[in-house]
Amino acid sequence: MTLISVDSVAFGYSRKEPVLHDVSFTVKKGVNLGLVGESGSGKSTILKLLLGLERPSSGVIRFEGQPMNLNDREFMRRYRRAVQAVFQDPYSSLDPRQKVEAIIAEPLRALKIPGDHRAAIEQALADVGLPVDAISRYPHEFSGGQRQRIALARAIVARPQLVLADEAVSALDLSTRIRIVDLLKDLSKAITILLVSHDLGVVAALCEEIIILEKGRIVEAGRTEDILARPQHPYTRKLLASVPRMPA
Amino acid sequence: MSLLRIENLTIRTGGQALVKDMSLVIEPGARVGLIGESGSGKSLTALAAIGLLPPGLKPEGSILLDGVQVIGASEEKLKALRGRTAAFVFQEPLTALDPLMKIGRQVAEPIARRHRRDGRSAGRQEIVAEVRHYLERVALPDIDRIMNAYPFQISGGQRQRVAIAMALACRPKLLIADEPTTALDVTTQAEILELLSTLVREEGMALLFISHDLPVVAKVAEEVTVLRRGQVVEQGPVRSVFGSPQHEYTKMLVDAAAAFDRALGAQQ
Repeated sequence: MTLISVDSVAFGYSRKEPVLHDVSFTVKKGVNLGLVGESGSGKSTILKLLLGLERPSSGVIRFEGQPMNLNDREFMRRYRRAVQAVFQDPYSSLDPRQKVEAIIAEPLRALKIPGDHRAAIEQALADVGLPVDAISRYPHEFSGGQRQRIALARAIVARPQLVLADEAVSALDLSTRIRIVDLLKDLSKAITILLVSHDLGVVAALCEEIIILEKGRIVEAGRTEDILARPQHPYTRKLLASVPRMPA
Repeated sequence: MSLLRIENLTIRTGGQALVKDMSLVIEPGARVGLIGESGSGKSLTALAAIGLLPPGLKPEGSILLDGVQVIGASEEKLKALRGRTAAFVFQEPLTALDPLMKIGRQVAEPIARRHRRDGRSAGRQEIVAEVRHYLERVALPDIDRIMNAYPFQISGGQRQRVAIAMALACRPKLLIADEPTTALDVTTQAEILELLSTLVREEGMALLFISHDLPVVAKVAEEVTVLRRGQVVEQGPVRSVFGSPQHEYTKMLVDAAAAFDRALGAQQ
């Protein structure tokens, strides 16, 4: 089932220099998707469009078949309930003056979701492997990996269908990174993940499908396994060859 | 004589030891990797080696750099060591370079300094020729344009090449590179790693390469030291440390790196 379809989307901050050219792809429910590219590839711009922070200059983004309309408050509320985000740096994405409870409750409050918020927060904390007593503490009391778990708890507390993860493990140490990737894998049994990353290894470990971006264009897309085994585009080949590997 | 001999280095701030009883030896021409996660003390160790620890951090033990005791040395003595004996390449070239100075002038600085140090004055022409030489050495294209550009006008990879050129221009015996590719794209990283390996070999320099990334270290280093919370957990040739790690912590790191590596499938 298609959650989001991006159809011939172009975008530019100025008319002269487009940063995205004719980008089309779909996000399918239950299929984790990795958007891979280097600086200037347009991966962050795609994310901004999907977050509704920018509008495409042409083309259309659909959510469950309906064109995304930033002016339609009812639609956007439904959209934000279904699509949540996790960012790269858990030191800047969590409000240092709020307790974990208030941080995680934010989507529930902002989206006016009825029900027992406290129970939902406790469940979210359990899902990301944090103890219940974390609820009354502040972000500074946690390590980088634990903070990213808090950010993930906030993203899943409203039970979204899709989580947009922007380089969500790139700032973490290797030993923490592998645990958060495992957690994301676990969470993706119930929630689809769109991971934007420059790190092919992480994308390969988490995503069934992959899109390779270069200078605002999709150069290759498909099943991760196939693309890693038989990269077609010269840029994909170069990218793969550039990843340092463990000595045999 | 070893180029760098660190023995029982402990670095304290207040009552807390950030580096504990750390020892590391680098022979002339050797390529050594220092691996650790955040807070492991890997950067502090490198800064201590050339006497650049921030005030408030007290080193104890012994650091012999080219036979000179760094701990307790006067600023004058340290200045003589920096550049001539050891030069530094940092993680983020955008902050390492002066944003208000054109590249040509920045690279000229260490060259002029080296000439003064050697007790000879070099003419402008001679220095410009050397600037060009070092920018060529790091394989920068379009050297005339780059010499006239400010750091913000060139790419991240080009900036890191400039930083490497400045370190090379000191003609050091030891090049210390602290996460020099972490801020770069993966294709640029591959180029810079290749460049560093080639240069270090051709110039006969020793290399101390600091990184949290195991496969990156494997690309450039022959020996490796693994640090955890300020303590050495394992030391040895890269092949044996990565191939059959002895310490639990090293095993965990190698397993994690290998898991991402496996996910990528067989090497093309």
